Amino acid sequence: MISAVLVFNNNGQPRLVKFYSQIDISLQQRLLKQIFSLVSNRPASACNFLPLPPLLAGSNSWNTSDADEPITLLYRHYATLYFIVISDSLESPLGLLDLIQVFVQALDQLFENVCELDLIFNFETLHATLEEMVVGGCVVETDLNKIVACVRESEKVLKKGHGMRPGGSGSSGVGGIGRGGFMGGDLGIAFITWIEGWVCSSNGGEEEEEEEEEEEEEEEEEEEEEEEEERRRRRMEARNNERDITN
Amino acid sequence: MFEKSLYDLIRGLRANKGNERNYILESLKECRNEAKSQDLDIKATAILKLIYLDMFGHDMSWASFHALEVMSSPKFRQKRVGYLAAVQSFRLDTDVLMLTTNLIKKDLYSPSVPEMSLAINGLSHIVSPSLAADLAPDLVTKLTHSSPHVRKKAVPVLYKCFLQSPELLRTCWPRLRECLNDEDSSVVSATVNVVCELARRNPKNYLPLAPQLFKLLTEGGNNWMTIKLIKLFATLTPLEPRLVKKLVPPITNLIRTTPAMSLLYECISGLISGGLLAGIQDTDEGEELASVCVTKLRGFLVEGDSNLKYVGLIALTKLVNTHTHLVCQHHDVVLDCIDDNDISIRYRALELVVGMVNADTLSDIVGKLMRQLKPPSTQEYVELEETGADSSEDEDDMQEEVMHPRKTQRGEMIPLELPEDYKHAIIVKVLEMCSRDMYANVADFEWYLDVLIQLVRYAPAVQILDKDADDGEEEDEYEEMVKKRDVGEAIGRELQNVAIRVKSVRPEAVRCAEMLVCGRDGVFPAAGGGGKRVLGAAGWIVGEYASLLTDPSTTFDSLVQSSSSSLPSDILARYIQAVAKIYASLTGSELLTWTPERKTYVTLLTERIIRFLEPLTTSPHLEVQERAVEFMELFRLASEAIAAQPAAREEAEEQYDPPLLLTQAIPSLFSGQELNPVAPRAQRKVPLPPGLDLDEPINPNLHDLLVAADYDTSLISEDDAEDEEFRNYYYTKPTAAAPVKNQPAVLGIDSAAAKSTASSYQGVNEEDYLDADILARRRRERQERNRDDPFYIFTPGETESITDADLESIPVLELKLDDMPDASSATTNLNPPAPRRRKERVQIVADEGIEGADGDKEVSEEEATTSHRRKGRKKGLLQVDASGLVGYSLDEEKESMKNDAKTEMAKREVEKLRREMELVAERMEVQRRSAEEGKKEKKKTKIKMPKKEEDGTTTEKKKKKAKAKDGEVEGKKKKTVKRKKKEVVVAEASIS
Repeated sequence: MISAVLVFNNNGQPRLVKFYSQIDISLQQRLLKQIFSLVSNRPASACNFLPLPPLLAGSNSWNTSDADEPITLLYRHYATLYFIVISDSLESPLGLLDLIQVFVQALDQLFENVCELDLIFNFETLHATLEEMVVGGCVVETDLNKIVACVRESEKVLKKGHGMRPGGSGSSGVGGIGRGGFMGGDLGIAFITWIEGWVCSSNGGEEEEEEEEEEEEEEEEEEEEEEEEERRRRRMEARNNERDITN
Repeated sequence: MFEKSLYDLIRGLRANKGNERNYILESLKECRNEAKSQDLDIKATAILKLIYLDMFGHDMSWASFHALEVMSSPKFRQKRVGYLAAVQSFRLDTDVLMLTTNLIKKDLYSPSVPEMSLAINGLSHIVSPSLAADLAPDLVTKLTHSSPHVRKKAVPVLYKCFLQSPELLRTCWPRLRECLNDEDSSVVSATVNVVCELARRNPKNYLPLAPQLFKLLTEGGNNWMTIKLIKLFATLTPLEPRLVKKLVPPITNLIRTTPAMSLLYECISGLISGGLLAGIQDTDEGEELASVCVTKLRGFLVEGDSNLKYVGLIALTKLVNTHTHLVCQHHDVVLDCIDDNDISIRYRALELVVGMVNADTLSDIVGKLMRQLKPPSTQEYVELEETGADSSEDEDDMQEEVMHPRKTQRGEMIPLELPEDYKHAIIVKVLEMCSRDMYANVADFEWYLDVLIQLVRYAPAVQILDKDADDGEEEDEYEEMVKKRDVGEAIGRELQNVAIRVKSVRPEAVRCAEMLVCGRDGVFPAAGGGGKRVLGAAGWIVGEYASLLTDPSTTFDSLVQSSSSSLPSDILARYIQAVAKIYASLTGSELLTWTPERKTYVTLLTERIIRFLEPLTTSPHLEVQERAVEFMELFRLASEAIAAQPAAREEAEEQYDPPLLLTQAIPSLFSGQELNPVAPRAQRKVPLPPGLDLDEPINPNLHDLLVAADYDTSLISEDDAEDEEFRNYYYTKPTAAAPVKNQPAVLGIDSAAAKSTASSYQGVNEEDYLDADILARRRRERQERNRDDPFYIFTPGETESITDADLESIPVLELKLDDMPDASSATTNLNPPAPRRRKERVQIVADEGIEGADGDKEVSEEEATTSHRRKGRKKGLLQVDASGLVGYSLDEEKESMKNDAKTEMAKREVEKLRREMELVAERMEVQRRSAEEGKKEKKKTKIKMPKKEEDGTTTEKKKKKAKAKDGEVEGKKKKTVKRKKKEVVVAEASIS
């Protein structure tokens, strides 16, 4: 069983919080903070398994062999976002890593080049995508095409009634420009220059300056973007071939 | 008023940087108003914004009713918002939950699939026992829905319902089971997933599925499902050992053929955790399969992907208990992982390595681990000193240099700052490795003692979790937590254990303890104050073995110095005891004459003790206070006795004996029988003396006494001081109170562990992890030991001692093969020590218990119960409560047995009725028979009659008549029986 799927950015701001068991909201936030502090200290070369945060571990953070129900905590880092999955021993850890990959790929297809802003402004779609893959902690679908098709279908129903707000950012003009390698994880950070707004940061103004610097960089990089895009796709394909669990 | 959309909210948050708190509060206020709006659009937008803020920790549970309203909107857009709000914020105790039943029911039958799946998914999050009971039948109908999309989603939600109300499992199971035959692979996969979860709670129920599942496994298909199937079988095989044989071929096949790493890993992991490998361990096939697995796992470790390395180590850790020799073959790669850059991998490797050690590899591995603890700065210092000042490296150490070329770049090998947690783990694991199986792997206890001392120096700072969480923490609690967290406690326990159990190195151990007690400030790491708790054990050792101290008076001085009183209370209590013991050994000698010098010396000692104890008599810690008060009074007496005893010079004619109190009374408190390790359960086996009633109060007036004591405190202390006999009675052998913490009892081990003559088997140089002073001493000792060893090649500095020795005088050892200690019978050690080592019998004292046997069964039973209790108590944060499903049977018979009393009564009634019926039937039978007999008689008479009358026709008629009569009677009988039967049937029906 999967106990929780979390997404937060490099500053620890949540983008998706989904627990499959009912937990108090303050506990959720504490857990989020603890996981973030664990994950943000890890070098890029480190493996994708995290030690248990104090809230989950109790006394033994590593002796999972002694625990009654060992918990696996794993993450993947894509550009500005961390994707976290918490599960019990009945899930395959390597499989879950692939599941995160599928999730991100699905989002990438839905938003035609996903970046963090897409997920912020369309967090309903984000939830819907996850719902297609995981129901009540059980993985029900791992086929990328089926997931994308189902989400698209429900978005279609959405649009039928109202045209007030487009579901995917790709069609709205909030286009995913200026992102370099969400999937690759090693390129720049996605930014949209015309939006002055960024989401609030609870930890002060440092981030802002950083962002603005990066925004400038981003403009310079725009020319290279097509190349990057090409590279990114190639890398993604390579990844899929390398370890494809879904089919 | 212009309403903000979600988009506006997010932009606004950004615009109000630095002032988010206020902005959010304002937005929340707006949302509160908007949520009350009549317009569903506005309401939905408000809810959407609330969900967004909820993600950042702003609770939205107050809006549950509004969320419910939005859920019931006919528009899909709004409905989706409503369901999302429910999923994110509803809890089991949300009061509107009961209002959702009909809404969800309606949506479950919606013609639109997206709407239906909204409802299904929503239910999976908010399902409560009553919702489960009401909606499960509807969900079951979804299992046969035409769209596979609906079917696959309904399956996990049913599981969620089972969790809430387990009795649904019985009614829904047959339909759920059919889903295993579904044509859509996702549905089958989801069903396997759910069965896997169910089987974890009560595997017995799902054994009958084995053939079907096996078919799914061999047919292959989705990797996700195959993984789940393997996990499922791993839970089933312990119940059905025959499955093992059946499963091995397909899984072996998968291991050989699958291209997916995750599946390969899960196959191996399933083989291990399902006990499959252990099950076929003794067969050739099993051995072969195990070695295939281990080889594959080695591949995981060397492949370069850190994730594979991580999971590979986990699998090896599971395997190491059953296939130690196989895992040990890959010693090299595992040891590489210990020095991995990734701390997660290091932790895993550390855990694995504990299972891998044996007598040969212990010092190597321990050395490797301890090298990591070495702080970089001191490391440089030590290296400089050694290369510069001390060029006399041992030959074998030089050899090591070549074997470990990486040593030169040692500084680079540990680039990352190790977390204190990890250091803590290393120390604990090192201790665990060494003390395993009653020190079966430790060949050289002097080395072990040095390691212990070094570990104290490396001890990480004590970290208290959640220290800031509650500031009003009691000091005692704080101490308790330090006790748990400080490795010093564990190291001290080992030190104490070695001192007690291994008599041959006891002087060494005492010397170590002495060093710890005396050199308190130099020994411990400057920062953090870790390791200090080792002083508790050290204090005990110096006291208990005071006669072995090299410098008792210095030790005494360090014990009674004023800084001691700042130690944790329990250590201080031990110190008080130790002070008295050392005093006894210093002054208790009868042989020394009682000269004025001696008298002043003893007076001085006594005074110092009294000055040390005086402030402690008001200590807030009871244990300290009690001991201090008692010893205080004793030493005051001693001081009086000393003053009263006149002394004389040695040359004087009249000689005085030292006071008896010093030579007899005080030493007798501590000497006597030697303290031996006692099995933890030995006390329980001491039979209760007849006539002793533990519940009976010793003094029935205790309460009155206590009340009286409150009024007249001076009285009590006066009494105490006077009544020395009383005190001696109660304080003979107070040392028994010192906790002797033991390792779990193993039967006596007469270890034939060998002492190493040279360290050539060591893979790691000792100077890599031991400090310079310890090393220098070791080298000295080694030279001493090897003086007569012809094979020992001395380094230039030491050769002078043997250059002029003639060859004849070199002793030649005679090899006596019979003399070799039988290692296999003496120890549980599987690997006999390498023969090249000189054997030395190290006696390790085992736990004492009554009647020898310690009752292993009892131990395991107790452990089982405690672990069970622990299981019950501890519940993870994210853990789903599935206790309802544990042991829940699918068969109804079992359940019906619960209504025992009712059934029993009903059965008795049925029985009664049946008996009555039988009685009636019997009676009828009797009647019938009697009637028949009567007829026969009649017949007889009638037959006779025709003979008389000679009329055939009449007899015929009469016969017919008789028959008719007979039938009539029989009919009547049948009727009554039938009626009775009916009653029985009715009764039975009412029961069932």
